[in-house]
Amino acid sequence: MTAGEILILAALGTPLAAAGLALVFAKIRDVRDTVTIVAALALTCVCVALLAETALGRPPEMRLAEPIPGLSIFFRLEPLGALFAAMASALYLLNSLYSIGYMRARREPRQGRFYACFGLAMCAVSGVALAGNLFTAFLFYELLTFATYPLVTHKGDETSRRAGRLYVLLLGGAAAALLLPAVATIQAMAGSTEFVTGGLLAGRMDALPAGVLLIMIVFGTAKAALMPLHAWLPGAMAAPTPVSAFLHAVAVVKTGVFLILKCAAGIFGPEIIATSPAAQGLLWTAAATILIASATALTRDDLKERLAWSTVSQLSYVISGALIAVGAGVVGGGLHMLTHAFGKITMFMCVGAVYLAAGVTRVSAVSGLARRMPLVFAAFLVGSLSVIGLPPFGGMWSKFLLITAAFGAGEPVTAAAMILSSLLSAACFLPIVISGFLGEPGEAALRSGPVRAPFLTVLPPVITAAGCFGLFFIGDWVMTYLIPIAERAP
Amino acid sequence: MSPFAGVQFASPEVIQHAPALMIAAPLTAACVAALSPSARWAWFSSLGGALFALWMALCLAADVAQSGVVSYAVGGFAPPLGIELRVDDLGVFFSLLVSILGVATSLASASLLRLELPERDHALMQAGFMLALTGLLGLTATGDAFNAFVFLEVSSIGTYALVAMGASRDRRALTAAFQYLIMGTIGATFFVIGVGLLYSVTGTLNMTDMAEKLSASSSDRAAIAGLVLITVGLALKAAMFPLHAWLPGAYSAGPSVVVAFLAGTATKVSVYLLIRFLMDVAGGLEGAGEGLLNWLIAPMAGIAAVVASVQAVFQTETRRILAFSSIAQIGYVLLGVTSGSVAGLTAALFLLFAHAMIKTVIFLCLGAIGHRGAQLETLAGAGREAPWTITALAIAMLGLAGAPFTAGFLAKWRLLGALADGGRIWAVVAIAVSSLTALVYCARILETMVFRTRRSSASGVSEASPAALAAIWFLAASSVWYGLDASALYDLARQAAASAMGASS
Repeated sequence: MTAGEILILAALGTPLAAAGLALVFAKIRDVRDTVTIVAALALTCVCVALLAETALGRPPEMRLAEPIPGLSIFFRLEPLGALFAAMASALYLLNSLYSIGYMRARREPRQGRFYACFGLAMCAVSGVALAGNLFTAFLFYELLTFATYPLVTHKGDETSRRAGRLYVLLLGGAAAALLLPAVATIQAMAGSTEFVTGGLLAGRMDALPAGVLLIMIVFGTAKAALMPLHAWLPGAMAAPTPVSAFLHAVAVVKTGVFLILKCAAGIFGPEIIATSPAAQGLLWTAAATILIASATALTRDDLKERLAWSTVSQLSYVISGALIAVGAGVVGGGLHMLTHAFGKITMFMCVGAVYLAAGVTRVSAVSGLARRMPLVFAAFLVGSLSVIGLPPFGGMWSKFLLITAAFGAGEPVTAAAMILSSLLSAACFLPIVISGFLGEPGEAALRSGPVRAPFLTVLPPVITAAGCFGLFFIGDWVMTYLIPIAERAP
Repeated sequence: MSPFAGVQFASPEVIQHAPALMIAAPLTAACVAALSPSARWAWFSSLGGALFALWMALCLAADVAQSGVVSYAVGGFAPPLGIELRVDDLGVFFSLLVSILGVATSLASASLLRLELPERDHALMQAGFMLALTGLLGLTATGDAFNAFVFLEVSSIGTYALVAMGASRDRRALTAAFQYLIMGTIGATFFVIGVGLLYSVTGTLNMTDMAEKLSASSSDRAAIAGLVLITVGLALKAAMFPLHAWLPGAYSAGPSVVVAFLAGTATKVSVYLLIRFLMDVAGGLEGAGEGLLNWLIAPMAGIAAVVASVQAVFQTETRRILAFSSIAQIGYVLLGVTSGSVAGLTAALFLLFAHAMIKTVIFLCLGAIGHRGAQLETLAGAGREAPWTITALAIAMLGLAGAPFTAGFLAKWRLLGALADGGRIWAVVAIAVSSLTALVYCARILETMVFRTRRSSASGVSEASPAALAAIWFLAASSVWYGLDASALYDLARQAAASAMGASS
């Protein structure tokens, strides 16, 4: 077995082992939580090693199993997948720290199951990130839906159960009704579903049937929350904050857009996307999603819901990137996936910390709170600035790249939607920070007694905020790293 | 390459008589069970009969893998005049399915019956069960059209009685059994009239001989009429839409063991007979079999896949949801059968096997937890009371919904691919819509049992007995195993499909 194969197995096995051990030690909380942290740390190391291997030009690959002749569970690294895995694992580590702080402070029940599902979800994310063909990616994509369902319904009340029902029916239903037939058709037509530089279907299929498949894949990947299949995301906010922070701002939704990016680059290829009328229609849908979701976010008073709507909008940036038929679009989409993840997870963690410390969940109630928890609000500010796309934070580069790519490809509608949505995002998030720092101290801020979030819920958002800042400086490096995925067919 | 190639399960003398022994074993067990002094002895004889049948099926599988087709002249009278037992790749695939599920249900039967039937009925129930097994195994082995009718009736009469025995759990079993009896008898009548017509045209009852004679006589109207009658009769037995009305009642009211066995085997074997008659026997009859497949069965199967799934969503009783899901799944299978390609038929057989295992697990679990309420609501929070059973049930439900890493997923994948490849986009759409609705009812069952909290302590749910758990987990684990490495099962299905299609060309 080569080093690369061991790394791939470790990337899948570590979170799986963590899930099993979390169940075994469900009742012994220190052991259980230590296991999660150690596994997350190990996974991060493995993923960084995978990233390095890929950067050094020897991408690991492995054929794990062949359930049916001609159909294999196959993994092969490429820059985008390596980057996604590394990002997800690093944020998993931080979020696990945060979860421990949050879940212990809230004395939540069923924590064993909670961490087990997290581990299983992480295994699924690794599986999608490392997948070498669409079949494998689909397997793990579905696993992710089922693994996160118990997390959405964690509270066990009627609201969260309803959210869970919507979650599994929308995500699973779109996958079963659209994605699965599309993937099976590709397998039957092309004889494989491998991701190929320049596009597997390039030259094998006319633009029209390929366009139908493209529509089925983009909508079938409902985790990417393209309207009208976005309703599950605001609903899933019924889950505990660490779940919203990690899964519904990072792992689940990013898996969705990642899969679309991979399909755009590795299955369809720029030629088909450039000539297909379907891509044009999808681009307009994405532009509409960007605008409508940003505007809806403005109207929401619940902090988590506001963040969720903003996520819906930002995801469509990445989808647009995938559907702009120029290389810069895919690279910009990949970069945006990364920068938005850091920005949004920061914001979610801050919102959770505010909730723990002051019991505040509404925008209207944060007034004056920042004076009592300045660090959290500062991190929130950094996260919002990055999501809005202002320097000196990472989000700027990806937006810049996407907007120029849209103009370059002759898609002014998309570019205009992105610019307008940035303004809407600013109008959405900056008032929260301003009222937090400068507003009249409200009821929550005036309440006597200490307003203190547990240390473990403050440290992770500060680190990710620092990450947003750091991404501003390595944005260029990431772009160069991602360029190979946008190559055309030889 | 068959997984059974080069394996020998018994001495040549035994293998030589394996086709007959496979049928005789459960028949003997049925007599022993009926006469046995206690429920325990009846269980032992049923388990023995089922195990012996499985052993013989394995011998046959190895023999078929080695020599292609196994022909056995019953009583030493040479075919085509004497009755021939004729087992090929297709037949042995179904013999294995039926005998494996026979062993699994038999293993679980004792503890399930204790929960549902009075002790004095156990012996009769086991005898009926063995009769049904005899009939179904006979169907998979016989090479004689009239003999097929006889076995069809042996298995049916056994199951009518078995379903009626559910009356001690659910009084509706009596009317359900009566309806099943009437419908089943009509189906059998259609079948036997069809066989009669074919006999009048060909002058033979041996299937191979019949196929030869039919291909010599170019499209004879009487032969076509016979074929149509056979198709309708078998469609009734297979619960093909719109002839499925008997199935939900029988599945919801029959004793759990019986339903578990029937859901896995009875309709499946009828599908086998359909394949046998339409592709094999009528293969030479210019376009008749093909026409029936394409213009009668395929559209009905597409409608079944969608309509039955939607109906399942609106049911409130657990067993009825699953019954309608079975009708939809038969639709899937028939869509694959009618696809006209080896790949499609392979996928259909693979799906049929996977689905049979899954449904058996589900019904065994429902019986094993000893719950008497029919409504799904009454099972809220059952997962807390019986974690092992409900976990297996959850795995099976995921397989039914086509979740990845289960055999159900791979089967559906193959089926969709084969249909898309053959240009049957409407069938792909039907399956896509049906899967969507399947997800709704699977999610509902799972949510109720696993994620809801129990309402009252008197729900009467308890963990399954060790024997039942062994049977349940064996099948549930196989369904996961075949989701990870399906090559053995897939090879068997492909050979079965190739032998069915090869004979028709």
